[in-house]
Amino acid sequence: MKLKKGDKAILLVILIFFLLSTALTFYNKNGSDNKEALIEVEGKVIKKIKLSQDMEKEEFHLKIDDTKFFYVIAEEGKIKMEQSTCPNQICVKTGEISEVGESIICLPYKTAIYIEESGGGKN
Amino acid sequence: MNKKILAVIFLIIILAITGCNSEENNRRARKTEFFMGTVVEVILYGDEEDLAKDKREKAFTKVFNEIRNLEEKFSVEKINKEHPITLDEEKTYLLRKSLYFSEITDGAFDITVGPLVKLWNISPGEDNKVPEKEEIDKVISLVNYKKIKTVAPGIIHMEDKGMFVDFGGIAKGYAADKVALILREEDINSGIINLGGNVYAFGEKTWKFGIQDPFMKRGDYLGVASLKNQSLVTSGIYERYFEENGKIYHHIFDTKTGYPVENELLSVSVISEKSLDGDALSTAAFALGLDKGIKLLENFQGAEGIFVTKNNEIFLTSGISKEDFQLVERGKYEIKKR
Repeated sequence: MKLKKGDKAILLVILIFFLLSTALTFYNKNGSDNKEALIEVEGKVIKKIKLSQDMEKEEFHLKIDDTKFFYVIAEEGKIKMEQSTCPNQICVKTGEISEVGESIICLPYKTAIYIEESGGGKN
Repeated sequence: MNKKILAVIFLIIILAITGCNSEENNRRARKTEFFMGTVVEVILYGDEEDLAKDKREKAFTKVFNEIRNLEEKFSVEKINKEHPITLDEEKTYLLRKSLYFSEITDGAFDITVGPLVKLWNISPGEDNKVPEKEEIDKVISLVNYKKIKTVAPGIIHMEDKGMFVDFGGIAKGYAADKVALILREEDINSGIINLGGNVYAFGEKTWKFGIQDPFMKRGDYLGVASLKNQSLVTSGIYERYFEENGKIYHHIFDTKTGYPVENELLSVSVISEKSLDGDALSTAAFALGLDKGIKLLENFQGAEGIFVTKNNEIFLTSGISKEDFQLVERGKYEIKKR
């Protein structure tokens, strides 16, 4: 079968469209895959969680000591302190965070969650 | 520093909106520790070379050692251990600054407020109650900076028993200024220091900070302030308060009545060259109320203010340009002229 000029042009357009959309998807995915939640107790990173839209939901108890607990939920690129045994509950009221530079801070338990770019300056 | 003694701004509310799109090769390095009863964040910003591991670790170590040092040095227990109180050069400097702010604010800022703060002991989530009137009356006479007498250079005497000195209303600002100095010495080009809400943006880059909407959950901001080699400190009635019989009791006290300040304001944010100034001025401007607070800042060289009222109005001092502060679009707040 021989392609006419017009067919070639259409194919070319389709090809470009395909490439572009793949590139865009890849780019977007890359963008959201770049985020990481760092859970820090007294300034030390104790856990890292990759955040992305299609991540698997993670929920767990974070034990500071025998009486101090958090319940943390991470899903769909967001993370939050669902529950805390701390007195002021500011960490819980902060709600969910999802952007690089955002943080959840619990002063009484000296615990923080930060969102950073993966492989950023911190190591 | 005794965290109960913050007759001071507690957590502001900063959301560092990092505008690093234009400088793609630049990175950030952050270190967070808990000091002075609050959270201390230091963020360094620069290219690969600026943030080389050795260099940044050295800077972080120096900074956090200094803060640890200041925390210990300015702890209320330590300063008031003996009477009369002996002050070294650094403490004498802070005392002089404090008394200066007391003078220009007619006592709205006062480093002898400690007994009052201790009596109220406002700590969110715990068992808070309004003290008896008699208790307040007893304590209020102990709150008066004029009763601090210098008996010899570096030695001060308090006129009444039960009085004590607390630099908590100014020490965080002082520490932020000092940290900025250290980072410059370490040849760091740009970054942010956040001492529990005392924010200092240093270096050649302009940083944008969100100012918290008092009525929304944390992280929802009402406007954005742009800072370059400047500090931002906010004092407000939210974050640290309790409710009794439907009335809110917050942590900034009227040094004349002994009760939490009651006026038209929700918060005051001060942008200043020195964080020490912002620390004292934001507390004082809040306590003085809208009119007197604006006057205070207009008369002060090197400080500007953003006043948020209970009627959803925002008042700016005359030195704040459109670039310095922008309202969030479609927000409920409105900038008004005085």
